[in-house]
Amino acid sequence: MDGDAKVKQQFDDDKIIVEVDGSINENFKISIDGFDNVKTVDFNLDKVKMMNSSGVKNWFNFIHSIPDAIKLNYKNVPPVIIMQMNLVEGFLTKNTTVESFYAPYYDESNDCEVFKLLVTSELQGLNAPTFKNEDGEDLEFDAIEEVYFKFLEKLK
Amino acid sequence: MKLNILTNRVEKFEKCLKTSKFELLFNESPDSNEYNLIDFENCPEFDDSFLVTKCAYFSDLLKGINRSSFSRIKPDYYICSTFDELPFRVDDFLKFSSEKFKIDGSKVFESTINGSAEYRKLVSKFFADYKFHSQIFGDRARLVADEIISNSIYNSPVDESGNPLFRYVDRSEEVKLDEGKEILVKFIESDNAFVIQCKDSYGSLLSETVKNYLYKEIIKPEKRGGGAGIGISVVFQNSNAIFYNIELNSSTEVTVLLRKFKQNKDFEISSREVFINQDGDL
Repeated sequence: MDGDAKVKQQFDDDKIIVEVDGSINENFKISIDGFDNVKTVDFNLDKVKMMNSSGVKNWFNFIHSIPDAIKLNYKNVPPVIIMQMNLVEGFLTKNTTVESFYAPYYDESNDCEVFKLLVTSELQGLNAPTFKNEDGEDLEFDAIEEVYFKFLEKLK
Repeated sequence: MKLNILTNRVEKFEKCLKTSKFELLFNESPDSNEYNLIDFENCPEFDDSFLVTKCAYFSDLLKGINRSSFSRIKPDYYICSTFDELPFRVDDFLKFSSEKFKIDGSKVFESTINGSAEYRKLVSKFFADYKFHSQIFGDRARLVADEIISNSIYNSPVDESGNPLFRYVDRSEEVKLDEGKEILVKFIESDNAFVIQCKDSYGSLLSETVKNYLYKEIIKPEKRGGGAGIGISVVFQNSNAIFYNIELNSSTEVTVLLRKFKQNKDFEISSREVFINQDGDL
């Protein structure tokens, strides 16, 4: 159906790069043929539009079918997935990292929301980094840090 | 009538109902015969978020008020000194649907849905085209609509003996509702809220079921059942108020209110409430 997530996979040495585009829902299907010689699976979620509860279930079943020794790395995670990561127990398995994710900021002068890509390794604790708009004015982190960054605590 | 209030202020609310005297303060909208409940006097346990939530809900109920029964303390304010003086019952007070509370909104969508294919098309198309004031808000609204409509289609239908028809069917499987049993879906938008409402013609949802899913300590997809078992939790996290009006064996109407805030941060600290009104016998 229109809007259902499309999945692309490519092998790159000992890494599989998976790109998901669309809505992760009840129709979401993914399988990876052969984890031989694979050390990492990179998920690029930049183009994910929505993940409903059935999508969470399908995603959950998929990631829990991947051998434990293989590392899972999430990149460019949108807020719709961050919400599920924070809510659902077991979404982030112990061999998982979140390399980068989007966070909401508010530009008061222009009265608009702005999404900034944060790199997890550059964060200092649970403090949102500061950004400025084109006029040099501070953007306000538009979430509660303890709430939005809760998934980072689960990764420790 | 069995009435359940599922908020973190249940005890306080029950105490208020048992109070023989408390005061409700209303203000009157200057250009119409509407009233907003803006304060509870002598009920200090109620905090502002509860009151703000309730403000918009009483206007329609108060249209028939005989104003002479109220003391007027300021030009626009009335105080009612006992609950008995109010022209509505506790049942009315807490039995909500989008027609019963006034959010001054306009209906932006209404349709009957006869099955899963139609619901998926609706959610996909409507929320791709509709302009919300913020992307994050639009994402929440879309997710909420998807969850409650999906639950209506897959969990509500039962046969004549009350056995579920599609509850254990995988959600990727298409299902169709019997003629005359379509789901009615409405979206309403106002300056301060977006409302999603879904009504089925089965009335098979039990208040205990809602509570069980809401009270789950660990939110994790379930293996049994066609769905994930976390939809109600997802809706709760992404909305401000959920109203279940259940007429057992007849209909279930689920209304979800998402308050619009200028900033996402304000939504994150705003209140979350669930109200369940269940009538009838199994």
